Amino acid sequence: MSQFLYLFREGAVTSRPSPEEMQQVMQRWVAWIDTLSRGGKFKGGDPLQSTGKVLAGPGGRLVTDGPFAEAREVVGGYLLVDAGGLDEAVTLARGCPILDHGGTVEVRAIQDMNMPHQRR
Amino acid sequence: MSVARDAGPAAETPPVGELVDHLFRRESGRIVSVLTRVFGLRNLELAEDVVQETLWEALRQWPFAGVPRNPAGWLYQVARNKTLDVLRREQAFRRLAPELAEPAAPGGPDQLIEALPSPGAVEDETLRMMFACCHPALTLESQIALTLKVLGGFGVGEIARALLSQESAVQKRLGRARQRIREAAVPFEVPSGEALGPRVGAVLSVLYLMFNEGYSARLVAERVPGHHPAASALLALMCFHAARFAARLDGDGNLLMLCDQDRARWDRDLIAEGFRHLERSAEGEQASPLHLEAGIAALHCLARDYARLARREALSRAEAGRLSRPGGLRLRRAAARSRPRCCCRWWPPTAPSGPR
Repeated sequence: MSQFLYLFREGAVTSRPSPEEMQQVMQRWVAWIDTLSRGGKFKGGDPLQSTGKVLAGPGGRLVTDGPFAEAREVVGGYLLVDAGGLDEAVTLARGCPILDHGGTVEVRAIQDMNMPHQRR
Repeated sequence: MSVARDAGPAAETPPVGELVDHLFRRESGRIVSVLTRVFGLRNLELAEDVVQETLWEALRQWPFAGVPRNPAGWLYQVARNKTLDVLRREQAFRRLAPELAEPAAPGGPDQLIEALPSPGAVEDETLRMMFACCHPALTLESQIALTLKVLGGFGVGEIARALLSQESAVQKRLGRARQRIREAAVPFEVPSGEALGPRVGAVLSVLYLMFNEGYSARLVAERVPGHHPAASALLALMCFHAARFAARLDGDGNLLMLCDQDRARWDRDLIAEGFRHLERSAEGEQASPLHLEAGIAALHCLARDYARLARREALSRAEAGRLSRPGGLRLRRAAARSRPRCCCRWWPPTAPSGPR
């Protein structure tokens, strides 16, 4: 079992969904995370606020409001999951409802520090 | 990590089904009504935006953190915080550019927030909003569209489908309605005294439409102050319809026509309540179209089978047609369209196959 990180980006929001549509999306999110959880895959996760600070320079002397990326590129949340490998992690991620609304899921393996570095 | 689902039973994560159907839709109407106390009707769209933001927040957090124990309370609290943010920003803006910013409402942010009604008093605000949306300064079509949007929590696309209209047309109509509310300085209050009577009819017409669209209009209808026979007739009608909700679907979730429904599954308590309202509706001099519809629905609830009633119903229906409906053609068309989604179809395309 390896750990994987899912990074969610919402993509461009083009329409203004109705409360009913938002509830439906929410229920699909809950159902998806529930499925991961029941399968013992879910290891945790959080949504992120859209604003923060970006530090740069020696000692972090340069502090700016951030991330200031294009809205569609801002990471909106993350999950940690257990999966047998990258293929399984990708398969599990396919159930994420964000994919139906123009968003993306980035799947990254957490580097196991006890293992020599692997090139992928 | 805020959530550890692998530790122990998932007691803090209720199953998905525990989130009430249409929760977002219902709460958005209630919260917009409450926030309007702070922002004023002139800034209706601002209240709508705050609620939209609140629902986004729920959408971002609940999947990760689990659905809160009191979802409605959570939404209300978040909306309250966001309102405070808006008011503080606005206050700052007014300091910087007093000639540009119009105050949303008099008073400082903290005083305004403190004055917000408690969640328990939400229904009073909902009723105020109902009368505001059905104000005679607006055309009937705008009243319906605005009520569905603001109180019913419907999206523009959903309203367009309900009213057989285009999304762009609904969008324009809503914009004009908000504009009219500002121009006519529509008050956020339930009219009293002589002014109340004529206003009730408009509210009832819109409530009936919303009921047909699946929104729980009953609470609002019950709180119309004073006694209005037509309001009681509407309540009776809604009870009779709602009594058949459980029986209108077969085992596979398909809609059943009235003639095919298992009458044993009709809710006897709701029917009894319907008759209590029907009795109260029998006061006064005038029979409204709602009285006739309630009467027809009552007959259906009493009858042992469908065929026995079909003929009598046709007669009453013809009579109902002679009474002028308050809403005109558009309303009738929308009502006719939404009826199949309700609990019954009055006119089956094929003749009933006989008593069951």
